Amino acid sequence: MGGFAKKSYNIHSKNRYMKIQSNCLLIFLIALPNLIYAQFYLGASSSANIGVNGRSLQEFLLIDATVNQSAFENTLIEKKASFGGGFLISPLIGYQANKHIGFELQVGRYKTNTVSSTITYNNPSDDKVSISMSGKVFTIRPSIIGYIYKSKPLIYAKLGANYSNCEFTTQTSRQKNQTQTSILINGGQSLGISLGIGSEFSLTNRIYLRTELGYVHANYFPEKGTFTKYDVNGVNQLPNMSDKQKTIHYVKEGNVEQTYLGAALDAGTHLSPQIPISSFGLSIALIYKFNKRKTKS
Amino acid sequence: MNKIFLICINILIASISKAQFYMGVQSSYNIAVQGRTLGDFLLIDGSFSNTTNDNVFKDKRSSFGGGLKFGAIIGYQVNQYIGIELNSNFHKTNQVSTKATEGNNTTNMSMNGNIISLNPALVGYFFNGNPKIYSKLGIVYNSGKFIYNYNLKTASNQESYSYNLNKGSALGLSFSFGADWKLKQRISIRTELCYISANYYPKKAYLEKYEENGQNQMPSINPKDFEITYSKSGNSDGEYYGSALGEGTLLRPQIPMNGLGLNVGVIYLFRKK
Repeated sequence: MGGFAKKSYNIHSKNRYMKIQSNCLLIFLIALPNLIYAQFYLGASSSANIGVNGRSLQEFLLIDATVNQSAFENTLIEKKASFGGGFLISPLIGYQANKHIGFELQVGRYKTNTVSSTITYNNPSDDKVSISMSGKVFTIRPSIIGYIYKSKPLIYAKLGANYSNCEFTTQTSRQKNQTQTSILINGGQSLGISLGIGSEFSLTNRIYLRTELGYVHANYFPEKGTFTKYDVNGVNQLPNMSDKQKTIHYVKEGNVEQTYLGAALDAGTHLSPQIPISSFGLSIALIYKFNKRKTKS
Repeated sequence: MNKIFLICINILIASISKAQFYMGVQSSYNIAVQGRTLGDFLLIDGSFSNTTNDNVFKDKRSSFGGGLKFGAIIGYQVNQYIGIELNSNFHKTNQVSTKATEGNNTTNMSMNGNIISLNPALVGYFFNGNPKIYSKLGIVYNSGKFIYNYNLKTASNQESYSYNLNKGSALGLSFSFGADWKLKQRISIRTELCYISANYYPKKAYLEKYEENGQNQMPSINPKDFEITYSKSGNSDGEYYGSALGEGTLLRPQIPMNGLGLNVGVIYLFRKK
């Protein structure tokens, strides 16, 4: 009985395998005519972006304010900070699988926009703190492309992931005692979503001009901050500081003292802050298309 | 000039031969994505020690883009390439809950929202067979309210209150990718993956409930004392965790409403022109 069951199972399994094989063959045969459209391409793209979807980064003191210390009156002004702005130049490589879909990979590095703020202290002593923050972002964007209009110009939509590795610098300058600090914020990554809609115009048989509107939604969660400058009245204070006093750890969970504005700039351990790097931009690219793959009819 | 005009008219007529109105209903299940720690609403797991000044916080990335949506669709496929569509939805958001402990005292906090959203979008068709495959790029406008609940239990006391945060709006972007499966000549089933990126900015918050040991404390409170105004700039005491819940005027907080969802809908196609 057991042997029969085993044999029956083997036959059933073999039939199933044959069925899978024939289905695969059928899918391949359906895909074959589409492959005449398959095409590799390479290009270079440059885009001008603006930061969008920002928020008041109070933990980095990126907020315009006047503070009246004697009356405990703080007037804060909202400042939506996002570091998605900047100028990105990136090479791209792509593969149009058939007339409906394609894949693309874009790699680039850009210097972000700078966000600056001023905090003015009135009473009892007049004082002013200027804060600015900017970064350098390395980004990788793999995406899937759907072709909407397959003639001239070629119109497409893109949906992809956005992986970024970031490094930010925040600088503060305080009038009182001529105090200047600079903190390098790095470690950690950002994973977001990228969307695009664009068109391709042929210049020659193989060279195409591409214009694209793109949107990226991403946030960066740093892991570490390090004081790289700490001057008081022009005297460097870093040699007198211990490693503990010079280092900030951003963690997902931990013992933190983060209960006030600007806490993310203090040495010690803090909850990982979120730095928005969402962007909206217009890119122009030049594309070189390789020979189309030839298939037998 | 006339020739160009005639060619344009000809292209337009050829395009409109594919034009089609449609209406439908849809429902979607969404998960919240791209959240952040909302320390200003105390939506953070933590344990506090007053004696040692040790505060252990735990990152809780909150977004209110999750939950269920029900709504209506009206659309117009202009030609075989593009169309326009308007979705209106009622969205009951996911709830974010947190817990903070301090010795024997426990505080539970939670927040969720009821939102009406309008989503006009441009539709691009990749494949016009069955299924019809498309992608949508649109704008999302959200309006509604959020409810914030706070409950503190100590050995001898229990205190709870609720805030209603409202009069705000959220403007964001939506991107969808989907397929319409024709069941009959006029009826299609729609399946769609949708991503929404938006942030809600409330303008006001009112204390709706305030109880101590089960006793309503609202009659003894001047309503003005527990009204919060969120502004873009102003005199603010928003310097500490949970400050978005302090009475007075505060800098408006940002509530993330990013979500990724799966829509299922039924579409009725009107007669083609």
